[in-house]
Amino acid sequence: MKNIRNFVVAATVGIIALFTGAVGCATTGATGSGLDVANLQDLRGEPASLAETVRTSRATVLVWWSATCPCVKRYSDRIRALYERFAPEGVSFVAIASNADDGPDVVAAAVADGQIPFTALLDPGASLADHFGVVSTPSVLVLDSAGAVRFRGWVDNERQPGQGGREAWLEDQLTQMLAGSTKTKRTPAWGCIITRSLGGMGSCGKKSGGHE
Amino acid sequence: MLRGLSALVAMVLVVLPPAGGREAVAAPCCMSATAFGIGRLLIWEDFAVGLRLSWMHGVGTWDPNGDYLPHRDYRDEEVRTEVWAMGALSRRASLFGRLPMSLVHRRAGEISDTGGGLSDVAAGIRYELLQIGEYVELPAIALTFAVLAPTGRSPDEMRQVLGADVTGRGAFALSAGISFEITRLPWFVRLDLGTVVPLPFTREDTGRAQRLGPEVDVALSGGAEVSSGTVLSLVTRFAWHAPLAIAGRTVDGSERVDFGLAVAGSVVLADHWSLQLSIDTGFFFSGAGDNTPARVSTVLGLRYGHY
Repeated sequence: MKNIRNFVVAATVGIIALFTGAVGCATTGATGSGLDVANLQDLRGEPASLAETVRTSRATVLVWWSATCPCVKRYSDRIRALYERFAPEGVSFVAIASNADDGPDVVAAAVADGQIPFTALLDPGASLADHFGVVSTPSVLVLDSAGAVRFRGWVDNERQPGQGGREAWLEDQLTQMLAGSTKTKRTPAWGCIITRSLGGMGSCGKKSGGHE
Repeated sequence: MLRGLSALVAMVLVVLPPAGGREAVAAPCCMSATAFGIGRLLIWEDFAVGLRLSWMHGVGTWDPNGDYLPHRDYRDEEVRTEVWAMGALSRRASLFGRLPMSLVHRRAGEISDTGGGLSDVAAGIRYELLQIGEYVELPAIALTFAVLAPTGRSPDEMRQVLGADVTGRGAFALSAGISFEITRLPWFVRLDLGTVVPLPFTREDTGRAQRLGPEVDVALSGGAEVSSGTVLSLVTRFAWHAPLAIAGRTVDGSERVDFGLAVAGSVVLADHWSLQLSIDTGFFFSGAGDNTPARVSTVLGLRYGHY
């Protein structure tokens, strides 16, 4: 089915390109490894880097954000609570906006009205999401100070606040990391698929990330 | 009837203006998922089950020439219940099943029949080639494949004069469909194309091979989330049934055309629960149907999504 899907996307891109000539190479991710693979931008459109944040933090939590995803809204209070608990202990939180339809103004508005209580960066072309294989919002990634991925997945198993049998996946992982654990953890992830743009595909050589 | 429905739609759209812009509560993933029909799973659901209760009131019929003939001294009522379920296999794939039952009452002059029972059950798979919101420029594309089993009573097993006890095709059928959906908050537009291909079977009463004509279905729908959790939709539908064939020979005048319009609303009642209401009508004049009953349908649906 994945081949069929790729064919459908490619065929549709071809048809649109044929009729509009609209497919270009406007988005090009920088090459490299680790965090350098992404051409992140701050909310003013200036190049930004996670490297310094990662290096100086005991852990860095990357939270993939979306303006319209109901799952992001459902998790915003829980993520805020984790931020307020762990930030004083040297953990950095960064919101990553990879959706092609979440522009700087949308993200800036979310920061301004407190929806995002920490730093937010734009991920044009979803190159950071692709690098880490993140496909949905609000997926979470935790990096240690060396830049190694220590957690990948979902905040918890509770898709509705108050649900019984909660497993606090992210909270437990951060607690263990701060206690010196070097274990890594990967959990299931749900949520809204990251919206991409055809401008980052085709002849430019970029492709969608894998699926978790 | 049509004028009344148009007025209702217009009134609803005026009274409940869509939430606007990026501040809207609408989510591209979810607006149309529960809007009408059995829909699809919401992105956070493992499975969903539902009950649909339909009341179909016959108002007339189109003869094989396409002439509309309103009922005179004839009554045609059907209540249909459908239990359905769907479950996620993966992020893109889900299985679904439908268990319909019907109760039919017909009266013509002094003759009246009441019958019913289990209709044709169906089971299938839905696969989302492109999910909603996956690409800014592309519509969501979903494929469905299903098998319909002849669990209902077929026309050749009819025992009642007016056929009130007929609840199924009498043949296995395969269906395939493709849906395209574009979302621009808080609006969505969806095009559904489908076909149902009944397999040949041998009639018990005549012992002759029969094949119902393949069916082509087209539905264009659009809607908007007018307030948090409330979606209003308008659906136009067209169905063409090819003529049936008996012993390899096509039966003239047996093809059917059905064309109609529906207005639907869905409301999230509480976490997990949503309610649907829709009213479907044909266009009751000559040329707007062919060899098919003219009915007005009211559907009430209750849906539970598990996550």
